[in-house]
Amino acid sequence: MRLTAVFLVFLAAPLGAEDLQTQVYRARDRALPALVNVRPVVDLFQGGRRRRAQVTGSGVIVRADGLVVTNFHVAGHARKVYCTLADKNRVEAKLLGGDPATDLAVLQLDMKEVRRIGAVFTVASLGSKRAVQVGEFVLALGAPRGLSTSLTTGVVSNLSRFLGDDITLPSGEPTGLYNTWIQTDAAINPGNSGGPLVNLLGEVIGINSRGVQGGDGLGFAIPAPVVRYVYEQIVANGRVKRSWVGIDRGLQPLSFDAPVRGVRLGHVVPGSPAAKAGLKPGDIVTTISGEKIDARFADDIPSIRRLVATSPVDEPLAFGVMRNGKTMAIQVRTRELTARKAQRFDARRFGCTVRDVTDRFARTNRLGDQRGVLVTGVMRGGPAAAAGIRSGDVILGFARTGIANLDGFRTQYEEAVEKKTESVLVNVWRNQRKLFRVVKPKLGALEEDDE
Amino acid sequence: MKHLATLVLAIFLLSVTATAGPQDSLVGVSARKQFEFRMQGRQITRPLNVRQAGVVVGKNLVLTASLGDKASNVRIYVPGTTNGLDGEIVDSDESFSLVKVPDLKTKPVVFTEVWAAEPGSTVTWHGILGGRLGEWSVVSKQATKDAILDDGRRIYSDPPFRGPVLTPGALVTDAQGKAVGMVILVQNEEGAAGGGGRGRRMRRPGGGTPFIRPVRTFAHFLTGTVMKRGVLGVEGETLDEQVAEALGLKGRKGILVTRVVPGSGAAKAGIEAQQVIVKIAGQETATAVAMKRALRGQAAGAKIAVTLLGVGVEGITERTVEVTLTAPEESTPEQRVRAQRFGFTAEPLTDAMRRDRGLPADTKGVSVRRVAPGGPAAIATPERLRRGDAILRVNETDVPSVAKLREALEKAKKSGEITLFVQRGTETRFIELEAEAPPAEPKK
Repeated sequence: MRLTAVFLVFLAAPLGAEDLQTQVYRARDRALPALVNVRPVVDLFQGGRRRRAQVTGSGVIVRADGLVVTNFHVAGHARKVYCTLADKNRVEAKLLGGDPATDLAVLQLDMKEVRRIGAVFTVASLGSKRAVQVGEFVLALGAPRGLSTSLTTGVVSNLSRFLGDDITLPSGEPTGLYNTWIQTDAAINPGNSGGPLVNLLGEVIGINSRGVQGGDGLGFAIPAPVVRYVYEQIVANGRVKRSWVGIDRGLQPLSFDAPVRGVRLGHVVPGSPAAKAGLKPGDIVTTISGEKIDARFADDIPSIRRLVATSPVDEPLAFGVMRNGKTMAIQVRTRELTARKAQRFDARRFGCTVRDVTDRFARTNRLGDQRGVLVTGVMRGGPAAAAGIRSGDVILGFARTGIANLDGFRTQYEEAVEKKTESVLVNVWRNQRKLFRVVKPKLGALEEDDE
Repeated sequence: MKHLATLVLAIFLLSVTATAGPQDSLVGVSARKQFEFRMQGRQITRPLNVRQAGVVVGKNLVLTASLGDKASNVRIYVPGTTNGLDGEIVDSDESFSLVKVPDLKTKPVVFTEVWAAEPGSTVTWHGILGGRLGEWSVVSKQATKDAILDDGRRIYSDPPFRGPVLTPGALVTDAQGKAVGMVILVQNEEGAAGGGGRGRRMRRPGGGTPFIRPVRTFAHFLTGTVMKRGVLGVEGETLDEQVAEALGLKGRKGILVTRVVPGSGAAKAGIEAQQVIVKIAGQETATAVAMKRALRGQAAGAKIAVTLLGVGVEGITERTVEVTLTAPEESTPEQRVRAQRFGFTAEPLTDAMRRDRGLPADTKGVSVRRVAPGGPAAIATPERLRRGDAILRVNETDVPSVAKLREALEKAKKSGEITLFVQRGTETRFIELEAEAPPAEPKK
C-alpha cells in the first residue's frame, strides 16, 4: 500500500509540469512589482494626546492609473500618504475613500510624479477565475513590522472564517459585519496590513488585514470579491453605499432540527424600514430578493447582511418570511446606511483624548440612553489626571449641562477655554456610578504640536 | 442512663433559656444531603445524613443552612417531639435552603434587619439538641467578649462555640432578643467545616467558630415578616475639596449626591443630584462611613431629618427635609419562578431594573435572577442566558409577569425544549434551551 503511494507521488511529480519552487518564483515575479509600502501620516491618539506620526503598512496596485488598495486601519484616517514602490521610488498618494466596515481604503498615486521620476510598477490582478481552495499554496507580501518587501508563504487554512460581530478597528469603528475572512498560516504581522495574499498564479486572492496577537500561523485576509466590490464603489462614489433595513444586528442562525431553512430575526430596530414594513422579531426569513437563505452557523450571517447591504438603496427589497408556520412575502424599502468615521478629539487643555460613545459601548456598559464622550487616554501629569479622570470614563456633562456627543463636548470645552474658566466641574460615569470631578484646564500657551 | 443524662442536661439548658422569644420558632432538621467535592480532579458526589437546626419563617416554611439542590429525606422536628414531619426543599442557594412543611403549627419568627450592630456588641445563638437520643430541644448560648466582627456579609464570633448542639441553621438574636441572623456553618480550629451532627459518622459533638449571616443576606427567603432596613435612595460620594470649591462650597464637608433613585424617599423629599448631605438625624455626615452610621438601625418607613446644602441663584442654601426611608427593592420567593429543568430563576421586572440595565421603559417581561452554572440556560444556543436578561416570550407566549412565565413553562413541560425571546439592553434575541432530565431519585 505504502509502496503504491510512493510510486504514485513519484509518477505525479513530472506530470505536474513545474515544481513548487518554480511556481513560487513565478507568482513572486508577477505580484511583487505591484506591492507598495504605504507610509501614511496619521494622528495617533496615545497617552491622552494627539500625536502626528508616520505608520507603516502595505498595499497593492490594482489599476494602471495608480490605484492602490490597502487597509482602512492603515490609511483611513491619513492626512498624507507616502508610498514606496517596488522599484524603491517614493511617490505621494491621495486617499480616495475608505470603508471601515470591511477595513479597506483606496489610494490614488500621484501619477504626474510617477511619470516625472520614471517609476515603474505592474498591476496585480485582483481576484482569480479559479476558485480558491483550502490547502492552496499562498504567498503573503508586505512589510511586516516595517521590514519592507517581505514574502512569507503558507496555505489557505479556511475560506470563510467568521471572527464575531463585535470587532472594532483601533480607531473605534465596527468592522467585519459584511465579510468573512480567508484564514492563512502564511506569517502575517503588523505592517503586513493592506498587502496582498496571492496564489501560485500571482493573482491577488485577498488583502491581508488581521493577525491574532500571540497566535501562531493565524492570519486573516479580506477575500478578493469583497475587495473588488468595495474598491469599485469607492472609485465610483468615493464611498461604499450600503442599503439598510434594520435587521443587521439581530440575525440569528436556525438550529439544525428547525423544519425550515432561513435566518431568524432576533431584533428589528424600532422605526426602521423593516419594522415599518411589518417584519417582526421571531420571523424566519427564507428568501431575500429571491435568493434562498440558509443560516445554521454564525459564519453564515455576514453573507446575509451583505445581500441586504449590496441591494439598491431606496428600492423595495423582497423578503420571503415564515411566521407561525405561514409563509408571506414582505416588501421593505431600503434606506442608505449612514456610517461615519469615528471622530476623536484631543482636549489638550484638559490633558485627555475623547471620542463619541458608540452604541456598542453604551450597550456593553449599560449606559441606557445616557450619552457623552468616552475618555480614550489621559496625559500623565495633565489636568484630567490630576482630577482623577481615567481612561475608560464617560464624561456625561459639565456641571449641570449634559453633553450628547463629541460635538457637544467640543462646544462646552471651547467655551470653557475661551472664558478661561479656572475649574470645570465634570460629571463622570464609571462602573455604573456617577461621580463629580474638577478639571483645572491648562490656561496660557501650549507647547507646539510635534508635527 | 444515657437517656436520663441527656434529658437532665436538656431540662437544665431549657431552664436557662425558658423565656419566650424568637427561639421558640426553632426546629430540628434532618436530611440526606448530596455532598459535592473534588478529589484528584474528579467531581465526586456522596450522600451524607445531616442533622441541623432550622427556623420557622412563614406559614409551613422553615429556613435552614443550605442543604443543596439535591437533598432528599428532609424531615423537620418540633422541639418536645420525637417524630418528624416530611419536608420538601422549595428554594436553595449556596448558604440557605427553604423547606416547605405541611401541618407545621409553630409560630414563625419575625426577623429584623434593623440592627444597630457595632463591633463588640453581644449576640446569642440558639441551636438545637436532639435526634437519636430523644426529644429535640432548644439550647441557647451567649457570646461574650468582642463577639461581633461585621464585614458586611457575615459575622465571626469569639469565643468559639462548643457543646453537643446542632448549630448550622441556628438562630441568632441581638442584645434586645430580636432575631437578626442565622449560623450557616461552624468552622473548627483546623479550618474544616465541623459542628452539627453528622449522623453516625460524627462521634464527637460539634464545636468551633460559627459563621453568622445577617438577615439582609437571606431576607429574600422571608415573606412579609421582616422588619426592613430603610434606605434614603441616593448614591453619593464624599465631597472632594476641589469639587466643593467648584460648587462654591469651599471648606464644607458632606456627601455629594450623584444620583437620586426615582420614587425613593429622597426623590419625594426633593433631594437632587449635586446637593450635599451634611447632616442626618442631627449627626454630621462628613464621610460615607459617618452617613452609614447615622442610618444604622433605621427601619423602612421611619422619618429622618436630612440637612442639605445646595447652590442656586440665591447663593448657598441650607435646608432640612424629612425623608421617609424606603426598603431596598427585593422580590420574595413567592414572586419568583424557578425553572429548575432549564437552569434559571426569574423574578418580576421592576422599573429600577429597566433603568439600570438600559432596557426600553416599556419592556414587559420577567427578569433573570440566576442562571445555574453549567445548567441548560448556561449552555443554551446560540448563546447563554445571562443574569439581568429580560425574558419577553416563551415559545409563542408573551410573559409579562411571573405568573404568565409559570404557565408558559408548564405548557412547555412536555416538549423538553423552549425558545426564549429575550431583551438585553436595547436589543432582543432568541435563545434556545434544552431541558435537563430530572435528577434520578437516590436509592433508598
